[in-house]
Amino acid sequence: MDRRNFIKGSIGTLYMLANPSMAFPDTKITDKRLLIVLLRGGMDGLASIPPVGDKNLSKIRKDILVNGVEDLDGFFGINPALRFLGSEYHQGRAAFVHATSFPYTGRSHFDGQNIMETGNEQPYATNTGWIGRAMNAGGYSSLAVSLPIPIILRGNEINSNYFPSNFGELPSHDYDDISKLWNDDHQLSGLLDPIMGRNIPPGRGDTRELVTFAASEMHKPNGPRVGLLEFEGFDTHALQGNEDGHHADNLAELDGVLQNFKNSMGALYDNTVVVTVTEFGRTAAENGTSGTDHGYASAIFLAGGLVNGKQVISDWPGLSESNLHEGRDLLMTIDARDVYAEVVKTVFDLTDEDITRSVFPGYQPNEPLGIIRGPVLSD
Amino acid sequence: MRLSNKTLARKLGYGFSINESVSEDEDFIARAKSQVEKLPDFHPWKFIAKIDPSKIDLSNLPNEFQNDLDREKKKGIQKYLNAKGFYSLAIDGDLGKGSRKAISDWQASINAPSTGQLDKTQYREILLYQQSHGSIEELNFPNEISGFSYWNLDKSDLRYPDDVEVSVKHRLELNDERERLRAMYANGEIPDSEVQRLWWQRYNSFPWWRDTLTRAIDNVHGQSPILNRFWHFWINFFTVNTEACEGELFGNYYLTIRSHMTGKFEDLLYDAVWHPAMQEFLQNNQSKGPNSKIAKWMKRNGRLASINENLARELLELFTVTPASGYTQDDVNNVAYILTGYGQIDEPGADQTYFWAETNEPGNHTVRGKTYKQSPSQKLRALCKDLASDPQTGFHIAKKIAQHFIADAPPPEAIELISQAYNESGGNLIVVHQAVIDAVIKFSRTGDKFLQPEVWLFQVHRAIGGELPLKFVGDTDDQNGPQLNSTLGELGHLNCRSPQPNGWSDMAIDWLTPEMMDRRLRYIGQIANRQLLESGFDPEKYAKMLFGAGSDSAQFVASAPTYSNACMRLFCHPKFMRT
Repeated sequence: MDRRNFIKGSIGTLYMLANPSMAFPDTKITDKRLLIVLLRGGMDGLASIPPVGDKNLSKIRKDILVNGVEDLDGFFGINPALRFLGSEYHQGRAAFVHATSFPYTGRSHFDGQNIMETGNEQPYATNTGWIGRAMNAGGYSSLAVSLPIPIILRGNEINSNYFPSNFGELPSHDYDDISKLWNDDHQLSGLLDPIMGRNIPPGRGDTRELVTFAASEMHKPNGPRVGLLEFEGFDTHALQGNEDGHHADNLAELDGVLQNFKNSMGALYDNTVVVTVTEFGRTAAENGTSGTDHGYASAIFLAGGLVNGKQVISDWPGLSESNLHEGRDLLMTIDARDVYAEVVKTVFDLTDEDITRSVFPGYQPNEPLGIIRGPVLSD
Repeated sequence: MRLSNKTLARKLGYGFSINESVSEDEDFIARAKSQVEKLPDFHPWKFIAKIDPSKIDLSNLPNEFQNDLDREKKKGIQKYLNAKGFYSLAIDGDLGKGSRKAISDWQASINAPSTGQLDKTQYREILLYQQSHGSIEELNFPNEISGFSYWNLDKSDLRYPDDVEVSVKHRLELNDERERLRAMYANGEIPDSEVQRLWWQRYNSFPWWRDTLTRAIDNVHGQSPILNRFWHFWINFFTVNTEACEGELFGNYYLTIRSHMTGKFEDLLYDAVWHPAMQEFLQNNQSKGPNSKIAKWMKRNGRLASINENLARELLELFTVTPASGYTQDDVNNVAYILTGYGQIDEPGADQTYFWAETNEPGNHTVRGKTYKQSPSQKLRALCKDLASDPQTGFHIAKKIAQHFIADAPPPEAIELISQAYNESGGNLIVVHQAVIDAVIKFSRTGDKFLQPEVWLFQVHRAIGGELPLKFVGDTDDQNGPQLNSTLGELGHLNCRSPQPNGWSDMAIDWLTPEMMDRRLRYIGQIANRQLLESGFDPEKYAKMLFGAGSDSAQFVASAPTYSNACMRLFCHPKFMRT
């Protein structure tokens, strides 16, 4: 029997932001595009970008040890399920950061996800997200397109969302009518504006179609500049598999979606960053159910023409028991905020002060890791 | 200002129907409090059953037929007499002296000769009654729901299994059936498309459809909406996702939770945690003690046994004391050790809680400073009792339940009132639920609470008096068809598919997005010109009932340019979408 994890990895949700034309015609338009990919559940960095040069890896992982790893830099390799990202890496359009995390060691999904989205050091400290605040700080208004809007995008004047529906369409006068009814309501006022201004075909799309839609919207002169894609199913406590199986299937799905995104972006991909965010990594050793439990550090994937590719940035802490956090989790040696600060500084033209004041309160940016190369002019 | 009874019916229940009259003179609070004190029989399907005399054909029956009826039919007669108050002996299908006396008494009550032998007209009356009040086999369902020969739905049992053993048996048989069908496919005996269809034909392998309808029918038509709101709060509190527990497990799990609505939280907690549905959902059934007997056996075969901490962590974080209590990783590990051994549904040596000592981690385990030394199968009971009696658990529950019923940010006094009731009563859920009712009356104002999509949808359908889409359209796993579970999926809130173990959000901010509001509008637009118009629902009349005759809001609905627009003005009115 196939075990099905409680969360289906294949269900992706798309959000898009930074459409200045509709609500805020006088706001800035950035040339750059950003796709944030949330990996909910706690992605196993050791199974995605295995440190094959660390001899301890094969001692602490048996059933879940990934075979057929493609080499990246002689020390790190990449799970063969990430075929597209591996090939992009060798062509200089993808990079990885390893042993990285937000500074959170509590191992709770819900506290961890709150921290990865709010960018605060304590859970539930704010109701807004670091992407939303970064866009605000840079003067970009936002339009999200999809079902519940995740916290990471909140903090902008307007959050809209989009997800294909099978419900029948309504004539525009119904929207006008209800919009007036909601006009004085403190929560509902203006909510229908983005719906009334859009023209999207109905029908349920899979994640690959959604990124094609995202890319086509991002091509519009006044279209969104930021998209957000959400994957669930990385909480692999049991039977996570190795190069095959549950975790590899999730990676392959993600990989295919990113490949589709690149194809749909065309030349614009040169001015794009794709970056992943997860709440924590997983235990270094496998547990008793051929899976891994909640841990600390993980890996971040970066792709796109703006990425200074073909490098795995890491200050490798090692996998021997004494090197692990509390004897069990991969230690964090690079603060994930170093990576994300560099990304949003480039995409939204922010200063270090903006980062400390608005994006990641309490965080002082370090020297750039050199993972973003800045905009590429056409050849 | 005192909340009106109509508002209370919407805050604490699923609102009221256009066909109901909600009196403001009635003591709603007393009725609400008494509703949460008892558990009525759970048989929602009878609410949609319809009487159809054309389906009763007695023409081939001889005039003297009573003694020759089969046992089930005789039982049906006894049940009818019992329901009418004429018979209180055993329902055994044996029409002896007692039964015949009851028949005579009933005959006398309808001014017929007291013969003790039914004639055909009298028997027809009993069969008609059974079409709408009988057991699931006797009910006559609307055409929409009957005759699903393609899926053999008519051969399936629509009830949640009230016995955990039955649900486990079906769960295991479903596994075997799937393997059998896959083997047939591999051998080229059946095409790919038949594997799913034949598998779904067995038992209740369309559980999400059954669950959604069971829930919807009971809330829209049932007589205990307030009790149900609490029940559904706890189902969400102890979320399981049907993706992770197939077949019948979660139906029985929901009934298990229901059975504790008049009991204590510590028992609810214990029964939810060991239940195979939760064990499968959070994968604790695969966790093994590193020093257990099975571990030794595995070691000899070169394999390592250890725990996973998935359920252990949620037991502390989501169900009881929360991270604010400051437990450590060691505490989580030790809870996981205590939990090893549960969920062993296919292990013949397991006990009635599916605990099998062979995979349990031996020895004493210390959690939050207390050492559990009980016998292996008694430790979890003791742990649940201790966690349940911690005031931080009481606070956590009070906060969550106040967020559900009162406001996203409930007044501290409301939380205090509920947590005090919890702590002083030792987690007695009747007392807690009655305290919630008191807290709603004292601390909740009209318009404080934005309705989640599912509550909103049920309130719409309760208002219009039903008109639920009952059909099963099961040709893909996506369930895209015009059926209730796909509607709830489109609205973003299908109970059995909650994305994470913390369940569905109670916060308006998680639901108030353009896309989700657009879907509410479109749903009303979609049903307005079909079901609503056909059913004769009058939005103007309902607006008067809800907003008050002569109010601006009622006037606004009355002045709508089209029928569907009037329905939208009513059901998407800020005052309808909030309570």
